[in-house]
Amino acid sequence: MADVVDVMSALVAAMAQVIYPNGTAQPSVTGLATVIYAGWPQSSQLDKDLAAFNTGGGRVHVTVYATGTEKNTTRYSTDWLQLTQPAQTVTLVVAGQTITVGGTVSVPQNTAILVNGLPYTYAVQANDTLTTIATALAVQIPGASNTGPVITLPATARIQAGRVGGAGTMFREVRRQQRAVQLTIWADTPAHREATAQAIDVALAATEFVTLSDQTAARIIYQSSRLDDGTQKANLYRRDLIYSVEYATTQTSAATTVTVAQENLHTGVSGSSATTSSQTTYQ
Amino acid sequence: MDGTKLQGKVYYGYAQSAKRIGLPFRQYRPASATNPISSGTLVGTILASFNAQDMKYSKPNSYGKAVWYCLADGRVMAVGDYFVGAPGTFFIASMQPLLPIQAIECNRTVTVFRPQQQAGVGAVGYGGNTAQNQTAIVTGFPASVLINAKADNSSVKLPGDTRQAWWSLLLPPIPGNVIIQDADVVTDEIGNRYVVSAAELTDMGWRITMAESET
Repeated sequence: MADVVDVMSALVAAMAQVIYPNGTAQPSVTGLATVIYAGWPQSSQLDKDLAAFNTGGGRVHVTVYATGTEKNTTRYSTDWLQLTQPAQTVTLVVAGQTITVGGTVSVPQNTAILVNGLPYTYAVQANDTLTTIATALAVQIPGASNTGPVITLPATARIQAGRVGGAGTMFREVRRQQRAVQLTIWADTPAHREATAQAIDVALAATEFVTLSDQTAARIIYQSSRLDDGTQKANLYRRDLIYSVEYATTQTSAATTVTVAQENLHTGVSGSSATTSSQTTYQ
Repeated sequence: MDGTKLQGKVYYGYAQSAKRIGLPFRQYRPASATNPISSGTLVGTILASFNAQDMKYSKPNSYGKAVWYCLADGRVMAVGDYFVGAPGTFFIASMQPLLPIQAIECNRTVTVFRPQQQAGVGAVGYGGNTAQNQTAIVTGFPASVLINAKADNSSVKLPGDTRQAWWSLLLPPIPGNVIIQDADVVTDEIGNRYVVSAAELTDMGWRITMAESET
């Protein structure tokens, strides 16, 4: 699920790509060593890095922190959507009165055989082989036997289907919010501050969405900016860029393939209180 | 006998005492506001003994006290001289007539900067002091830097910040009549940074109150 922490991480990654487009082993676009992270600087580290510009080292710090300004903008459907498809690697191939278990074993998967209107199912285990799967199914079916992965059914058996199901994931948007996120540039001079701020601000202004860890997209919109020279006494020039980030809070769930549908039927006469027996069919 | 003659006898007496109980110090006489401890400012080697303002040598010095009495040949000394030896580094703060010579024990080496000064008229550069545009006015002077009682909140207000201490800085008079002002920036050799709040030039040198100024 996406959380405000994911938003901060995504912005850190986005800014790192802007500042170091060719990787951190190559010079930054500003020519200044820059460190980008979520949270706040540690003062002793910041002092050391800012002072070191005078001796040939030094790093500009860029931090990301979510402010307390937030608005609930929930407005989309909460229906479940497919996130990943189930992976079926085992196969059941029906040929005459035989069913052959094939493919490769992986979990989670379910196997099911419908014979004479009744279902026989087996959940594949991590240590199974194709033969043990065939054995586990064959022992359930009256009159069936198996040799290796091949299950042989009696001549009277009516084989309706051999099915394999897997488990995928689904997700849904349960909430949506707009949060003001503060990107702060901590530099030793106004020139270093502006060089860093401009590189970041222009790139983010041209970015409509950043992708979060759950693969949803967060919309980013510039909101305001603040210059702070009041800290120059501490050899610090600071600039805050405030971006509004709208992102979804999502919920993820596993979704297992239905391999056998069970239908219970109750019949009765309208107006009569007499009950009838129920009938179950499998499809 | 007159005051001058008597003063000479007193300093002769100090010299005789230092011969018995003194330790060797290198004596430097700063000639400029830059690097007072260098071969160019070396006067020679002198025997000197320092005590915690107690000529009976019955008590040691303790925390927060920078002033010592000095027993050495005052006839070859001047206010502002640095004495560097095994017991530490001192500068001579006062040589008042017939009174003990006062010295200040130095625990730091400081550099004082004048913040950015915009010259000229018309459009000039961005206004704001940085490490690049400030100018060193005193460089590499050993000094006493001791904690003052006061403390202020940090202006940066980072989550890990504590209140920042005020400090007392004692410096000898700086050659060239360098005047230290409020808002001057002071740094020391261990990476601390301060801003001068009040600078007082006394007959014992500079007594400066400064606030630690870091993030």
